Amino acid sequence: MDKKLKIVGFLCNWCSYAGADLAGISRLQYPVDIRVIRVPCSGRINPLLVLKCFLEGADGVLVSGCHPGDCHYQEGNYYARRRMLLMKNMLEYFGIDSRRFHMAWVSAAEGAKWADVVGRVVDDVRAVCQTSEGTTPK
Amino acid sequence: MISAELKKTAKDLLKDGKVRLIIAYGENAAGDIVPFFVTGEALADKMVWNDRCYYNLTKYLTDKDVMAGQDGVTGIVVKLCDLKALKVLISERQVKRDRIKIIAIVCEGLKDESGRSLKKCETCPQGSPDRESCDVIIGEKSGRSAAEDSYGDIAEIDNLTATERKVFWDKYFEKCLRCYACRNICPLCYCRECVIEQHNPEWVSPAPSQTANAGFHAIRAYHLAGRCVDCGECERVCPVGIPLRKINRKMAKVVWDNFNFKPGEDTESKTPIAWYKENDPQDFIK
Amino acid sequence: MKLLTPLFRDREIIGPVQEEGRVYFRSLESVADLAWEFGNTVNNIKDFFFPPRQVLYELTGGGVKDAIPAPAGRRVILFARPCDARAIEILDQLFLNDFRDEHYAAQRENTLIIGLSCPEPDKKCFCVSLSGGPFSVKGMDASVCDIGNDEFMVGIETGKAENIFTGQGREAGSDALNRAAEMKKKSEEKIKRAINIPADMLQKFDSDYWKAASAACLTCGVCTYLCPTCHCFDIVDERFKRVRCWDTCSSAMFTRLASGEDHRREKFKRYRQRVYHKFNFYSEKYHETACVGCGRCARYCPVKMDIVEIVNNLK
Repeated sequence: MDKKLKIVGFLCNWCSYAGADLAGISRLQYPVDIRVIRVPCSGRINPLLVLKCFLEGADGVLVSGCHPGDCHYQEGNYYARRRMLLMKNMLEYFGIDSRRFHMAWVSAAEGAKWADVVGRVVDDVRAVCQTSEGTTPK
Repeated sequence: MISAELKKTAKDLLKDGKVRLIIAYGENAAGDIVPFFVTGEALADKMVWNDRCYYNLTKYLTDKDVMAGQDGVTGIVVKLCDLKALKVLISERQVKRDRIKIIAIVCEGLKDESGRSLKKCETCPQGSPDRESCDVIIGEKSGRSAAEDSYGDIAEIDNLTATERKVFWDKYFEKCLRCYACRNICPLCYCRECVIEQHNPEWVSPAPSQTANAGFHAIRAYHLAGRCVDCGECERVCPVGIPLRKINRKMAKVVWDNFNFKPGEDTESKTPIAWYKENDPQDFIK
Repeated sequence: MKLLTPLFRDREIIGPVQEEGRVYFRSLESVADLAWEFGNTVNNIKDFFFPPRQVLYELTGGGVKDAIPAPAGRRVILFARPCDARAIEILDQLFLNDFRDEHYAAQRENTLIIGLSCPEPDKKCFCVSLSGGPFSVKGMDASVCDIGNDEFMVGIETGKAENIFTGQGREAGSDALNRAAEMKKKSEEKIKRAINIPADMLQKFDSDYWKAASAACLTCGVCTYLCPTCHCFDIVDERFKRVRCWDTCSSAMFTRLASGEDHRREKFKRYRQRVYHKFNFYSEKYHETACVGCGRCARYCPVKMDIVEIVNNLK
């Protein structure tokens, strides 16, 4: 039995969280390693929160929001897209494997996509944990 | 002669009392170049200019102790690199253009104490800045065609594996003393209370450790992304030799490659994180 | 040198090493890593008695776990310059007298300090004007002086070092002693810089001088953290650990109280405080200056603030 990973998920309330909820209602199976934090909008996510997760020992982080053009607050996800791009590049430069940090657009109707995204993220993170001495980036 | 013209310019500005302070370069008794605050015509004679005038003096425009009571116009001596920082400060509304007199000096490159050219000067076009963005230009000269920054050293780090990169940086973060010389000399780190020193919530521990130090440098680099103009002072002043320009230039490259933006070219542009394009890159998003 | 390795086989060795063009005091893997030619190091030996980060205690499931280390093992610090060695005696006053700091005391007891004389002081050094000198042996358990011809004069200064060199070398003859004395004289003459602490320094506390003198200061921590005698610290909590870490009175938040009140809000007050602590307040209590003239503050200050010039010109 593989060790349970610690992957933090920041989900926007209106699309991704609803999509994850739909996955649950539809009884779709997906890995339990993700711990969800609900935020009003992906634009609310301070990119430093992603960094903080890694400093505190998270194995991986997933940020998920509404598709561009569909943001409940019109443009929050556009800001998130720029911010997370910068954060992802920076984390990789400092040696945090690129497979540890992911971002996704999951709408309220995409329960199946949510399950698939989590599956892929957990696979990637597990692959990193198993190859790089098993230790989380500290 | 640049020095003579500089002193004359300073005296002219100070004469009628509208300008009560000029932030310039001076020399201390030990022969080091130091930041020098000219508050009267008599002091103007002690202004200097040479190839060891390293400091980005624009830092002092946001120093509330230096600027206390300065409700007139403040003169500031800048090189090309400093001028870029000044433009960012103006675009971020930290400095009012009509409250400063920009005295631009045409610098021909800085040299370290053993006479070697500073790395950042190799990719500087030198020459005069554009007339519209200064009040006085001293030492008119047309620019040379300098090599563009190839970011070769950044590419070397990018080409390592994640583990190798981590080992590379951890070695430096282990040395960091959290003296904050890098942050405090940076003109663009002007927050009255730095997020690093925030306790509610606390992002990183104030006590130095590899992890906390990595957090400090990551947070600072992130806050400078798209704003840092690579004046290089942070790296020059670090007592333990952390290659900070390799961090800030990486972020500058990411901003340029993805958002087509370079800070410090004008006084109107907003920092890239403050806006967006509908077709921004999103290959990394599922 | 091969001579040194067997002497310290059972001790952790700390000494100067080259790292990318600068020299630091570090714990060494082997004596072969030692740097022999250096002016002075970036950091100093206080790091090994009063480290930048020290866990004081931890909260565990079973309660509070004190983190006072059992002396981890014996250590030797090799090639501390006279200024840095002297500074440890100043720190002893602060960490062992009114209140005995157990972390400091444990390290102090199990560490041997072997100093290295300074034949080539640099232009920022000013130890002589502070009752020190490039050939001083204060604070050292043993001293080493390179007298040329591949010969080293070793002085046993305290009981701790008595048996270290037994059986090695021979008693110094008058020729060796003369060479050492000659080097000492030459070296002292090379130090041109001198600090002149005004007798009426306290009366000048409220002078307008301080605003202009401190204007360039960035209020970072370089001078404080590299200073062999600076010793202020903060205590912070990291989840379940209480940690002591270096702090600097120069920084904006140092004097701020929980109420928000801060009687050193202005930069000049903080700069002035640091100068007075070193050159006036400390000497009122302990009858010596809390500065050993190593020159690091002037060498590494990002804006080249010169404490000697600032004190000498005080009016």
